[in-house]
Amino acid sequence: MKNIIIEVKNLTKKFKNGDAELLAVNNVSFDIKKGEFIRIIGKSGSGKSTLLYQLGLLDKPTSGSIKISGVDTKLLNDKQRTEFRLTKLGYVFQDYALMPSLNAQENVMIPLLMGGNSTSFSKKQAQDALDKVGLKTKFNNYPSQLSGGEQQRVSIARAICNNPEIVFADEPTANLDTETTTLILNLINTLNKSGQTIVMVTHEADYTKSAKCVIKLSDGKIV
Amino acid sequence: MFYNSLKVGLFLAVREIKKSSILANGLIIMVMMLTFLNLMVGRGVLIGLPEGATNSFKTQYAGDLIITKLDNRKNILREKTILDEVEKNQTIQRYSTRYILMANFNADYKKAQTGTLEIDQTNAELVGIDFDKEDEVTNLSNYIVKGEYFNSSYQKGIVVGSSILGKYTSVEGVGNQTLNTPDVGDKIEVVVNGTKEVLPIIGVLTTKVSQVDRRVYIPKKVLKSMVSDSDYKIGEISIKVKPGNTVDDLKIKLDHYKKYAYIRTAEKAQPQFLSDIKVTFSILGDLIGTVGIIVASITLFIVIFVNAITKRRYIGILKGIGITNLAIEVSYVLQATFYSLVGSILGLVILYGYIVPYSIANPISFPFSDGIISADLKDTLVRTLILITSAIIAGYMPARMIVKQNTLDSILGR
Ligand SMILES: Nc1ncnc2c1ncn2[C@@H]1O[C@H](COP(=O)(O)OP(=O)(O)OP(=O)(O)O)[C@@H](O)[C@H]1O
Ligand SMILES: [Mg+2]
Repeated sequence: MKNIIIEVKNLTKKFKNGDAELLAVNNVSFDIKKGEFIRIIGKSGSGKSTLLYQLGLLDKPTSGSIKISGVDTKLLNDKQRTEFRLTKLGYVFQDYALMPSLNAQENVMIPLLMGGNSTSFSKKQAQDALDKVGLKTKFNNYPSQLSGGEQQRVSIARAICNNPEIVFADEPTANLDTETTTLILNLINTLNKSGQTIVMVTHEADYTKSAKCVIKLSDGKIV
Repeated sequence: MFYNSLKVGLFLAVREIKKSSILANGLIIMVMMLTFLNLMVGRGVLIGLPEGATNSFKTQYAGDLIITKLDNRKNILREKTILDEVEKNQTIQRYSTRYILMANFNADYKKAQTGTLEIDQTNAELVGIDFDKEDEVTNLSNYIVKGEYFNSSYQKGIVVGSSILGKYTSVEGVGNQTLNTPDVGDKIEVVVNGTKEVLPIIGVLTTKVSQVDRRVYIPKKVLKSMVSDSDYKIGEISIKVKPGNTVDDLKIKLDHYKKYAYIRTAEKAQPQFLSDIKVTFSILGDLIGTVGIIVASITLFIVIFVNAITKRRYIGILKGIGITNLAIEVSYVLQATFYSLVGSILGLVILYGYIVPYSIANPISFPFSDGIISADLKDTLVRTLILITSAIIAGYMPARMIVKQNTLDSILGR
């Protein structure tokens, strides 16, 4: 099928802890279509983050395969994986993961510069992205001068500025109050409405109601 | 991708430095600067010691070029011809001729001369000089420690090197018999080629050149009146070259007189032990310098490593969002370059703006040398370059080590 963007087959991630072995992700297979908004849910320790790390190419699975846009990611070397993350994937971390030495605009600029854009173009793009997440007045603020919700929005702006094919987000609202959570989730929804594929780990009970587009994990398995 | 990596590396490095606290930046730069100075000064003192001795030998005795009598002769041969040529030569700024005779100096000349053992007397070179010309070449008047130097109204007397007077020297032994009782103002008997004359000691001088301190100076007019014309002959000519001319050119010009006298630059004429010390100290200095560079590199490595380690998580995040390893490495290398460059430049400013001028103005006084801190510019620059290079390596290695680690582990801090 042409509009399948992520194809996961028999994906397993095993952790060894001395003699004990733990299957954090246990032989899961699924497809994600272009433009979908996938929520990964499950209890704490069920393997949600671990799965997302594999999909986001931040970690390597023990076995199984992940195809993204038709590319078997197993075949990529480290350099190519880095380039893949830069050009095709956006990642929103639970704790924002901004560079403290860079202000909001500069944080968003680095992936753009890395992509070969001129400084002025990168600046413009970064400002547009920050504008989109409602931070028009905070371009020059450093992470330490931003609230948690604002930092998460910078993180989202950084993830989307390169027009990635897929945006991953690991509990992007876990540290935020309900009001800000709504703001962020609306933002992600809007992104999805405009065609962006999104894979998000979430605790939000709301989403469990609609069985559609939800991957529920328990002990590393899809249930 | 390569160019992009450089660009991002620079972008990150500049912001990283800008955003660091003044205290942190200041501390790293200070460590770099102290490392730099440590590298330069220890060695500089060692090299500077014999260099100071050479300097003293040159400025207090030999001038740039010194013409001396051949070993088996009593004086310079063909002195008139040589002197004419010296007089004519346009590259010579000043020169001083010295008439040198062995003489006996007796402080107990009033006592009955019974046995030699009890008599306070010694032998030394009596050196007749044109005191103004000599002063222009060797600044002897500067080294008078008591009494005064000759002047036109006060010249019937002698100026004595400090090694000859027991009151001014601790160097006494077989080779250095001193006059124990006399001091400035006292009269002693000077016996030269049978002629006796009682003359007052008008001054005592002490330099860093042992030969000079073992001599007795007398205005040449006075000497001429004491000895026969055949004994009144030039033993040394010290020559100062005009600025902008080289002593080597002058030596070539005068070299055809080498049958009649030794024609040597100050460096060549200095006593063997000085050249030997110079070589030894230079080896020691290089050894200390090498150890200094190793210590410096390790210091830099630790400072930069600690800095990079604390940023491990951020390095992981950068990798996570697709920044290349090269960009991250470049950013750390540039930071290291910046810190070591600023540290070295500060060090250079302090070295040449303060330490070297200070050491020249206030030399460390050693018996044979006014120790200066030697800092040959070319040498310093080579060392600076080595320091910066090792800083760059020290910046690269930890960045490389962290970049090579698992991205996720770095981000999650495990
Ligand atoms: N590096 C590791 N070494 C060993 N075990 C690990 C490692 N990382 C994760 N695990 C284990 O794998 C399982 C899945 O962890 P994971 O972080 O994916 O859970 P999660 O679903 O994201 O939980 P949470 O909702 O609390 O974030 C857990 O039991 C965890 O202890
Ligand atoms: Mg998790």
